[in-house]
Amino acid sequence: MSRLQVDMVSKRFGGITAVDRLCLEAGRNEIVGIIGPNGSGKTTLLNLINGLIKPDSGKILLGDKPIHTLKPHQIAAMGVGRTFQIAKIFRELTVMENMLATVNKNNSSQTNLYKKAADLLELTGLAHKAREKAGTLSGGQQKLLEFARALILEPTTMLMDEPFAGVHPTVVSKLLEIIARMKSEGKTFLIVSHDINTITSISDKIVVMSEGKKIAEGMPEEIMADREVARLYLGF
Amino acid sequence: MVLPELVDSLLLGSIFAAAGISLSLYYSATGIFNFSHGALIMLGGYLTYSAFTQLGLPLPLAVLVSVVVLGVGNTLFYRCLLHPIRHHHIPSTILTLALLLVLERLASVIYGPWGLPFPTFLPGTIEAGGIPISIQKIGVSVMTLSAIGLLWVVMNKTWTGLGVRATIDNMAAAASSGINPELMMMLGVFLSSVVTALTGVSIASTLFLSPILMSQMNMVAIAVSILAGLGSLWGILPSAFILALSDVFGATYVGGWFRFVNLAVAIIIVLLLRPQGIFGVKERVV
Amino acid sequence: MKQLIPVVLAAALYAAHPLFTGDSYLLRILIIVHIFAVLAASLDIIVGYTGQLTAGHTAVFGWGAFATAWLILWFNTPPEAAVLAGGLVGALLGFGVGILCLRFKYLLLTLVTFALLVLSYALARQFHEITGGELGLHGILPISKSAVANFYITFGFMLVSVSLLFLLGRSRVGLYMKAVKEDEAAAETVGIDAVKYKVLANVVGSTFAGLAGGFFTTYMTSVGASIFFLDYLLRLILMWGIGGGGTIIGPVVGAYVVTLLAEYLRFIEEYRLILLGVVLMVFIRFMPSGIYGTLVKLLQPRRVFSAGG
Repeated sequence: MSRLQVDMVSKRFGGITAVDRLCLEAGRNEIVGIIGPNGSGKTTLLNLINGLIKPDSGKILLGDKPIHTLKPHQIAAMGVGRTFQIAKIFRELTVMENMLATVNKNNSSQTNLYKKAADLLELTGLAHKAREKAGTLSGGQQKLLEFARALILEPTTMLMDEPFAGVHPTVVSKLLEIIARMKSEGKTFLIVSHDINTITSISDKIVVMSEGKKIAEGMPEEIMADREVARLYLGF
Repeated sequence: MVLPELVDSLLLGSIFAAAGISLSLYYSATGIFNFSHGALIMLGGYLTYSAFTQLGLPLPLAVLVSVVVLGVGNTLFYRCLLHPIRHHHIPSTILTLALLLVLERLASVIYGPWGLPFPTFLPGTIEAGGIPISIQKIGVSVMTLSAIGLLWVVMNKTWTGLGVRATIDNMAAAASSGINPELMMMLGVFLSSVVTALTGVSIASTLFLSPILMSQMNMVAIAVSILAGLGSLWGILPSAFILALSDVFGATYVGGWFRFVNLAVAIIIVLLLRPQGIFGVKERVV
Repeated sequence: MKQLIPVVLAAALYAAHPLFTGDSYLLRILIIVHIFAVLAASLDIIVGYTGQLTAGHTAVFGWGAFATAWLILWFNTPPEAAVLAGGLVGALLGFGVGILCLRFKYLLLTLVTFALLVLSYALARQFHEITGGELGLHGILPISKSAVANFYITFGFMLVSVSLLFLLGRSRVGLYMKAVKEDEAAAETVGIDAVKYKVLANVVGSTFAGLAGGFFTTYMTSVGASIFFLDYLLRLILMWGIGGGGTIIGPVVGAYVVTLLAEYLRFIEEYRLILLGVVLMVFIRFMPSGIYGTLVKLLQPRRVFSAGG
C-alpha cells in the first residue's frame, strides 16, 4: 500500500481547469519529483493534498484514510508537512517561536519540544538566529526555517514547492542532505521544482504535468529521454 | 401622490451615490477602507461654509476652495500616514477611525455640536402636478449627478483616468508598463476627495451641517458600497437609488427610526447572504 | 526580575492609597479606569492576538451591562450574581461573533461588526420600554455604595482579569493565536486549528467584556442606549493603540494614560480628545508597539519565548 494516493482529482477555478483527473502515488522511501511548465497546476496539486483547497472530484488518501475532506490542520497532524514557493513563516514571531507554534501531537512536554526545536535549528544552521524575528532572515534562511518548522511535526510525508528556487548552493546541499537522510528513514517526498538537474538526480520517479494533466511519469532517465517532455520544456 | 417622495428619492439617491462612489473609489485605489469618510464628507460642507461666511467668497468659489483644500489635504494625509502602512489592515483601519474621532471633535469645537444652517442658494419652488417642489432640491441633485458624471468622464476619457483604472486593475502590471502606481493611488484619492467635498456641499444644502451627520453619512456610504459590492464603482448608482427609495418610503410609512436601522440591517443582510454585493468583485487585497 | 521590584512596590502603594486618601475625584476616575483596562485588555486577545479587528467589543460590553441591569431591576438578582451573568452573556455573544469571524475576514469582519454595533444602538433606542432608550435605566443596585469599596472591587477585577489574559497570551495557546494572526494558512499547515483559536479568543475576550459591562453598570447605577455610542469604541481603540496591542499589558497602560490625560487635560476642554486622536495616529504610524511595547523593547533584552510585540 502506498503512503499517498491521489485518485482522479480535479479542480476548477472559474473557467479554468487547474488540475484534471490527476492520479499519482507515492510510497515509503520515495521521492517523487513533479515538473512542468508554469501554470500546469503543480502548486494547486500540493494545495489540494494538504487541504488548503478542496477537490471538485476525486479522492486523496493518506495510507488508507481519505484526507481530501479534512481541514489542513488535521492533515498536518496526521503527518503531512508542507513548504511553500515563497516561505510562509510567521514574520513577527522569533525563529524559536516559529518552531514552537506548531501542533503538539504527541503531547510532549514543554522541555522536550524546546529541545527538538533547538536540535532542528542546529541542524539547519539557524540556531544563532533563534531570538531574531523571522522576518529579518534572508530568503534562503526563511526557507530553511520553514523546512525546520515542518520537520518538528515529524511528518511521514513532505510536500515541497520549489525548495531550491532562488536559494544559495550551500543551502541547497544542506536541504538535500536532510532530505536524503529522511528518505532512508522511510519518509515520502513530493517535490515540485523547475531545477531539472537537481530534481532528476534525487527523485526516484518523475511526474510531468501540463495544463492540469499528468502527461508523463517514470524514472528520471526515461523522462529526460521522452520526446513529449522535451517538446514541452525545450520547444522541439 | 408619490411625486414628492420620488423627488426626494432622486435627491437622496444622488447624494447616496456620490457618498458611495467616493468611498468606493478611495477603496479601489488604495485598498484601504476609509472609516472617516462620513467625516470627510461633512468637512467638505464645513469648509464651504467657512469660505462662504468667513472669507465672504461667492458660493461657487467657496465650493471650489473646499474641493481644493479637501483634495490636497486628504491626498497628503493618505501619502504621509496611510500609504506606508496600507498592507497592514489593523493599523490602517485604526488610523482612519482615529481620523473620524479627530474630525468629529474638531467640528464640534470649531463649529459647535448643533446643526448649522447652510445658505439656500436656489430659493423658490416650481409646480409639478399641483405639488410644489423646491428648486434647491432639484439644483442640488443636478449638481451632485454632474459631479458623478464628471468623475465618469475623467476616469474613462482621460489619460489620467486610464492610469488610475489600470493601477486599480493590476498594480504590478501597471507598474511594469511604466505607470507610477503611487502617483495613481494619490490621484485616485484626490478624485475621490473632490466628489467627497461636493457630497458634503449637497448634504449641507439639503439638510444642515452637523457633526452628528458624520456618522450617518458614514453609514450611508458604507451601506451603498456594500450593497453595490466592494470594488464596484458604477454599481454604486443603482444601489444608491435602491437604498434611497427604501429610505424615503420607509421613513414615510414605517417611521423615523427606520433611517438608521435600515442601513445597518441592509449591511448585515447583504454581508450574510451575498458578501460580494450585487455587482461585486472579490475583496481587494492590495 | 529585579526590574519588577519597583513595579511591585508602585502597585502596592497604588493599592493601599485609598485607605489614606479616602473618597476623591481621582478615586472615582480610577474605578472607571479599572473597568476600561479590562475592556482594553480583553480586546487585545481578540485583535492583538488572533488579528480579528471586530468593532463589536463595545456592543458586547453594552449588552452585558443591560443583562446585568435587567436582572437586578426586574428579577431582584443580587448585583454580584448579575455581574457574573453579564459575563455569561458576553461569552454567548462572543461565541456568536466567533462564528461570524469564520465567515468574514479582515475588512468584511470589521464592517459587519460595525453594523452590529450600530444596530445595537438602534435597537436599544427603539425598544425603550426595556432599555430606557436614550434616558436609560436608573436605580440599579451597586455592589457597594462606598467609593473606596468600589475601588477595591474593580481593582480586584482588573488584577484577576488582566492576569488571566496575560497568562493566556504567554501560553502555547497565545502563541498559536499569534501564528493565526501572522499567517492563517501557514498556521493551519503546521497543525493549528485556526477556527478553534479564533472562536476561543472571541469567547474569552467577550466574557471579560460582558463582566466589565456588569461592573460598569452597577457602579454607575444606570445604563442607557448611549453605551452603544461609537464614542466608546473610539476611546477603547485609543487606549489599545496608544498602550500597544498584542501585549495585554499595553492596553491596560493605555487605559490609564488615555483616561488620566483626558481628565487632567480638562483645561483645554474639548481639544483633549483631538489631541489624543492625533497622538494615536502618530503612534500607529510611527510607533505601532505603543507606549508599553516600545518601553519593553528598550528595557528588556529579547526573550526567546515571549508573546510580546
